[in-house]
Amino acid sequence: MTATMLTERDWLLRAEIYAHFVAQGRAPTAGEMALHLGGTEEDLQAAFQRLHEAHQILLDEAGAIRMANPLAGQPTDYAVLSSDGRHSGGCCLWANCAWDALGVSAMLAQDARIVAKHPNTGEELHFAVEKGELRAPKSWLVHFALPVRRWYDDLIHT
Amino acid sequence: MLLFRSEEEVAIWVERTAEPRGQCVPIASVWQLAQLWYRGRLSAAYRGHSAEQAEAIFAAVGLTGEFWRFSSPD
Repeated sequence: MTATMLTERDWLLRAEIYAHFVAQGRAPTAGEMALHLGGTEEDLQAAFQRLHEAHQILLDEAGAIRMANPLAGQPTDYAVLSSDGRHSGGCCLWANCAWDALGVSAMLAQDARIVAKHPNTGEELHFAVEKGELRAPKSWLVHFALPVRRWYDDLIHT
Repeated sequence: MLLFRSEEEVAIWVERTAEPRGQCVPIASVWQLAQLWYRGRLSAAYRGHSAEQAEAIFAAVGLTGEFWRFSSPD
């Protein structure tokens, strides 16, 4: 899963990408990371690409960060709000899927309110983590469409 | 990985989208999985999950079998 060789600086960049994402509520650009860490934008974009190849982030066709799991670089059907209704960077953080929505709460070690869009009807589904406990109907479930060996064939579709 | 309220809703989605029918996991198990999978993700010491580590996490929440393996048996 992490066959691409990453340098210690690449791993440091990974951590800084996540820190920026959480603080600002959006993914950083290579230019922003160059200003923050030093180096040229081209160097940082090359490091983004290595992290992409190692499945640590997912870049879009333009080279921008689309995913840093569990976080999504653009609005999705899974909005994660902190327990007071806001994150520091704005209204919410976006997760890539239902698992990732809970993953945001787990990653931040924070309670959260999650608003998901129903895949069939588009209606809002609300659930939460309160005091570290899941608050959702027991009957609810998450559908994993693809076996795990195919996840990295098409991470967006997965 | 999409959220549904019942298996019946999953069946409707599969029929409507022609997407593959995979496996349904109770949301309580997915919360356990999320904690094991994403805990420590913000740490500078995080170095990713190997396939073996990932499969061990799946197994810890009861997700076993071919569907949850990264490689097929030869």
